[in-house]
Amino acid sequence: MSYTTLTFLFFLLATGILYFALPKKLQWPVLLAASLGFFALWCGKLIWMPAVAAFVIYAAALYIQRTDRNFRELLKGAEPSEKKSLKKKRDRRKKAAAAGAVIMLLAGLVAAKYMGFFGDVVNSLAAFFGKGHPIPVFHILMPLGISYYTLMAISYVADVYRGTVKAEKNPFMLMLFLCYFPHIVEGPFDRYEPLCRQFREPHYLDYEKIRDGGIRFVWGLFKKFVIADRAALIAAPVFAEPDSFGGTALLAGGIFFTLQIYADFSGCMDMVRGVSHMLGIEIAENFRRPFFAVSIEDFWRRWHITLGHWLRDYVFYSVSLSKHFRKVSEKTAKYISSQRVKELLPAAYALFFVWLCNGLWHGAGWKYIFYGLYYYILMMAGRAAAPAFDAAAAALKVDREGRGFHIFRVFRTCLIVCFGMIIFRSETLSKAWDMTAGIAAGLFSAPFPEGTDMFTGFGAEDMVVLLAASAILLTVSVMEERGREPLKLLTGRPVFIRWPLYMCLLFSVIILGVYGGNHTSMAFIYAEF
Amino acid sequence: MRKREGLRNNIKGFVRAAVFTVIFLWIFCLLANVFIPDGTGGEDGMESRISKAYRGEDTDSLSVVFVGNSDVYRAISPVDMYMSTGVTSAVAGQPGKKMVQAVEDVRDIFRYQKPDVIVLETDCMFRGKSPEKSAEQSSPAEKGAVEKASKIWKSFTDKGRKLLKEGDSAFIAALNYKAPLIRYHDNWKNLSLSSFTDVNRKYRFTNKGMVYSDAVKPYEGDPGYMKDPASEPEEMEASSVRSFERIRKMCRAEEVELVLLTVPSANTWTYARHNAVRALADRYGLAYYDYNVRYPDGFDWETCTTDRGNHLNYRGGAAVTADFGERLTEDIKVKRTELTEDQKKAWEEDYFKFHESR
Repeated sequence: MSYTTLTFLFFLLATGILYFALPKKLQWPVLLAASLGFFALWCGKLIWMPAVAAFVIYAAALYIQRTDRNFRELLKGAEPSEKKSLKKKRDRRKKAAAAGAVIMLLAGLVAAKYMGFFGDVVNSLAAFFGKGHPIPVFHILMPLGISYYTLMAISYVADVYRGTVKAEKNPFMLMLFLCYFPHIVEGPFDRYEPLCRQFREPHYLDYEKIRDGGIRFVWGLFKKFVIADRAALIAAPVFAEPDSFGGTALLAGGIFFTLQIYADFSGCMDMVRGVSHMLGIEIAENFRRPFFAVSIEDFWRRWHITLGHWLRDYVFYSVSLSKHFRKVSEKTAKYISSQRVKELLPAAYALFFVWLCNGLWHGAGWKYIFYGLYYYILMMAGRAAAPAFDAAAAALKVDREGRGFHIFRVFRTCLIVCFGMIIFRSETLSKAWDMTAGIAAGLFSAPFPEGTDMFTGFGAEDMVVLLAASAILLTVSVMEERGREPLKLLTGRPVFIRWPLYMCLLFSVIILGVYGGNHTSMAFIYAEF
Repeated sequence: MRKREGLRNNIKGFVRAAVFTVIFLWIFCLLANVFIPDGTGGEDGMESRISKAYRGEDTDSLSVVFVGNSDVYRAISPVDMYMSTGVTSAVAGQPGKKMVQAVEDVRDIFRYQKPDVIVLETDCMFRGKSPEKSAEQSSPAEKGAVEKASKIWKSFTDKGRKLLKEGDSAFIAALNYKAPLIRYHDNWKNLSLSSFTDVNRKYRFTNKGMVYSDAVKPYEGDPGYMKDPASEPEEMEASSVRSFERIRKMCRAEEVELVLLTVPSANTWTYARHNAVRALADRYGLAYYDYNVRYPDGFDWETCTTDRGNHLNYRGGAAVTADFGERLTEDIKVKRTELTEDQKKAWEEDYFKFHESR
């Protein structure tokens, strides 16, 4: 049951009626039942997997908290000489519980998502050394949202371990935290405390929330059906047979895929935020106009924001604040004379793991690892070359605060991201390389052999619609970037203005949407992760 | 006070939303008419407009109109009948049509056409399977209350599972039946002025209301389903009898001959029903043709049914059409329809389009 189906709307209506009609203390159990039902309809019996994850983090968090409490009591009455060893014992136990939980959670994720890939890698290496294929490779079914709820589960355990949140006493609340139906498919990665606090609060039927959530939901449908699925009509054939296209078409394929993935993912986020807003629950924002970014770092602070925050909080800080990391940094620094390199090294070391995890999270394959490291290399190269760029800009008297330079930086970032998306979307690394080489070699050549009809179902009218819809998206994004709130502006207009706009939005989805009949229905891209 | 204000705001808001929804649905239905493609689209019975194919023909250009349920729209091919007999016709068939609806159909037909003959397919005079067939098919064990309850529960859960599995398709098919905007939304690329101005455009069908199927699923039931000629006539519902009377009177007032027809339907027809219709036909002196009693030439239950005996496929329909065409011209003496040259050309073109698209 996808978010884009009528069945989902009926499901939402039924859930909403029960949610608002029943006593307030039954609201979160209603959400839990609805979420489990949603999950079961999608994945059937695999519901045991998030249930096991919920139980693991429930047990681990309670143990960590109890250990803290017990040792606090012990430490009160302990001799100064004993305190250090007690603290060490406490930390060891807490660490063991946290590490055990994280290992179990990751084991589930690895088994479902990466076993095939790692098995192939080991077998390839073994075959290279003449040892045959020692690892049996089999693929198990991947339950809905495993990449999302696993990371959320890890964040919960880590937060309890760090003492920033209290352990949850109700395992069903944790189950809801992991399986909440608006975020189970494509995220965002919500954090336990802000979300579960909202689950516990009473929520009253509010027309404005229903209206605003509904508008946001339809806006997400517009992005998905009118823009993303239409852009896919160009991108898909280009990536399927890149050899059949010249450089211009290859670049166009990359650009249209970038547009597709942005509209697809952010459209889904609009839909789920809209749905959740109707229920009075605010989930985390995941996009903030990423194509207005001026650098790669800025881009990743605007794109898939919650994944970036998760990697920062639970990979970057964990690595960079660890004793091991400090030791490695200190040892390495002894052999390096360049001050600049010494300054960059700690970040480089920690960021390597961040980008490796980023790439791997997206998929089990070399191209995903390369995708993550592509950004890592460019980022570190940018940081290393920053003094040189500063000097060059000063010498050329470039106004770095000016509009022209700003536009250049935005354009440069978009180009870098576009090439990153070529890696992301291509079937293999070598095809990505061929595409990139093809763009470079034949940028001004004919798009494809004369007489070829490669873009089935995409005509001149579709291009007009796509450009117009993208212009609307751009306009809304510019308004948001300038601090204006398009939704508030829209709902604040008189009825004879806002109702026709609502109708236009609804009918543009119904009439201009790419769905049904001659079109293959397209699942949300990030749901596959 | 604040709570009351909040409640008042909510009520105002939801009332506005309800008004908005009504306006949206109205525009949706209007646009559905605009987006329906010209001519040949949608001849699969999945939209209600196909039952009004007579509206899409030139006024007073049809000699015969067939009225009935899905049995008739599978069994009669008007373009084939025209080419073999020169008689123009159309089919006003709709799945599950009740006699009350058939009355409205006949009334509507007379607004657009002045046929020589209205042919009423008799399956819509009866509801569901005959008591005879139901008794045969239910086992003694199912007649107990517990067994009935478990059968109802199983039917409910099967329907629920089917709805969840096919939910969207079922909802959209139901919506498309009346207002197929979702089905034809892609047609925005082909819109023209006539899409907005030509009101009857959407009723113009090459097949003239026939629903084509070339699927073959043989009937596997009792070949002797018309068992007992001496069966007691099945009682018709009072509303069916009243509706039949209305149709008969309307036809008499318009000086149109009413003919009764039963196309082959092994799953629903019995001699009891045949006898009931025969009695009506005899009482009012109406011609009645029952193809379950005498199959048309070339008809057999192995190759002529699309769904194991309920509806005919094209092969079965062609056999019925050929035979009934002869009955119309030889027995009922329906003359060749007088058409202009343009109209003749249009019918011939539709015939060739139909056979090219098969």
